[in-house]
Amino acid sequence: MVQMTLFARPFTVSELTLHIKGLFDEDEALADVWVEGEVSNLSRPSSGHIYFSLTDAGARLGCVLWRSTAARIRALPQNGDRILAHGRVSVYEAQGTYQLYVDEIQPAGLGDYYIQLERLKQRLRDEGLFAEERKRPLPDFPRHIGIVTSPDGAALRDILHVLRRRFPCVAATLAPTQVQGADAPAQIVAALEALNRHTDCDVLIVARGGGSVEELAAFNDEQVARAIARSRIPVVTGIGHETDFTIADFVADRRAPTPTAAAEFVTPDRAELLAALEDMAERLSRTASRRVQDMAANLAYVHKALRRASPEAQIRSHRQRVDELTHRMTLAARQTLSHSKGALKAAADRLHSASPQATLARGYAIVSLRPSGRLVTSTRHVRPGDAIRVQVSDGAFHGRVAEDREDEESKPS
Amino acid sequence: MSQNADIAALSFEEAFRELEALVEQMEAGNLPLEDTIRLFERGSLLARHCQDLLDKAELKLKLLTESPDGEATFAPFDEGSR
Repeated sequence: MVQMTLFARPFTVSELTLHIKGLFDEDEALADVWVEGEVSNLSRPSSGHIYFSLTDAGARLGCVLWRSTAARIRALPQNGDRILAHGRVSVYEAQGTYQLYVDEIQPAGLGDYYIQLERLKQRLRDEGLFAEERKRPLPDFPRHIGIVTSPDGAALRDILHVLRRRFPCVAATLAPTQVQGADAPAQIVAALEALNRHTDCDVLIVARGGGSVEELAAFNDEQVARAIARSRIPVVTGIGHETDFTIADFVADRRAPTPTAAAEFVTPDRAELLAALEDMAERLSRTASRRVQDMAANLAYVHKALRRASPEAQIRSHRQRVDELTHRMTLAARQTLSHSKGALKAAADRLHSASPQATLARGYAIVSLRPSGRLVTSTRHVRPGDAIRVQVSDGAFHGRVAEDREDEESKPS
Repeated sequence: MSQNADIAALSFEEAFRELEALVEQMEAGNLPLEDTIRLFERGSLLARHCQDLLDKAELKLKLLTESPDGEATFAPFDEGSR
């Protein structure tokens, strides 16, 4: 900020204006203020921003409503309206004027209510009820959702629709309440407490469809705010439309812009889950089949080795050896036998050539005495006149020994 | 199969978390064949159970009312009648 140093040198207009602007911007009361007045001089040039004045009997206040802010304000001001405007007061240097930069407009007549509301909000904020560190995480996969809303409202229908679409396996318990009117706050408090006391809900939704400020009043109630803060179960609010902020929203663990959005916040996305499941099933079967293939390859290898070493294989191998030996033995026996046959024939031949018949055939004779049959192999075996039998190769004849005798052995040598 | 009889009673989260752990376990190590088959079988059933919970489950909706003396009553909530 420019230092106010008297008499050093004159300010430029810009310097002075900037100094004044600084004074406005330092003032906390001017940064967050509600003003009630009548709308006049309203204009909306092509820029889309809205300029108007708020007046009362004694004064005039220039106001600006930026186009972006105007877009979310339900009832735009008209000339002659009595309204309650909220915003901050600051200096517009180019014109040398101060003005209200409006961020919210409500019909007048609620003036006191808004002031109370702001005070309550401030008090609860000071108590720390809105603090970020109080916010609890919502469950990834809720098992049981508690719903605090009207059993007849569109809010409930919207919520149930989302639950069925996204996560139908959840259980839901509705604690029915009125959501507007004098009894609504006490009923909402009782519903929150009942769900906390009697159920195993892991998240609660407090919801209401869109409505006017008066219709949403129950959700700006101090007791409702405190019941939400007290809830042992995390609370998600889905109250009104996008632009409606209630005190319940500030206290809740999470604020959703609508009942539908609240239901979406507390449930996982079905499509994502199905994709994740498919992915896991695929990984599961890929891993398992690779494992089984590895095992099968191992098994084949082991089986082969085992077969080589098995007793069966040994028996088979022994049996083969026996076959071989049997074959060789048969062969050997056969050879031996045919060899023996040859030898036998040779022996028989030799035996044959040694028989007396062959000798007879060569001209020898066998002489025996008759009738004794005693073989005559010496001259001394016979005397003249003995009957003899002479056998030759083809038969025998009889004869008698003559007188003459040649006695070789008696010859002198 | 009897060792997987518990699956039908598992919540979505229990089944989903177990399936996640099981897939990681299978991918992490060379388990014996018997374990591989057992885990594969269980994992397939878990995945199927989760899928069924998403595809076939009917939202169970109850109405909770509390009497003035704090007694809770759970009643079926019939949307059709409203």
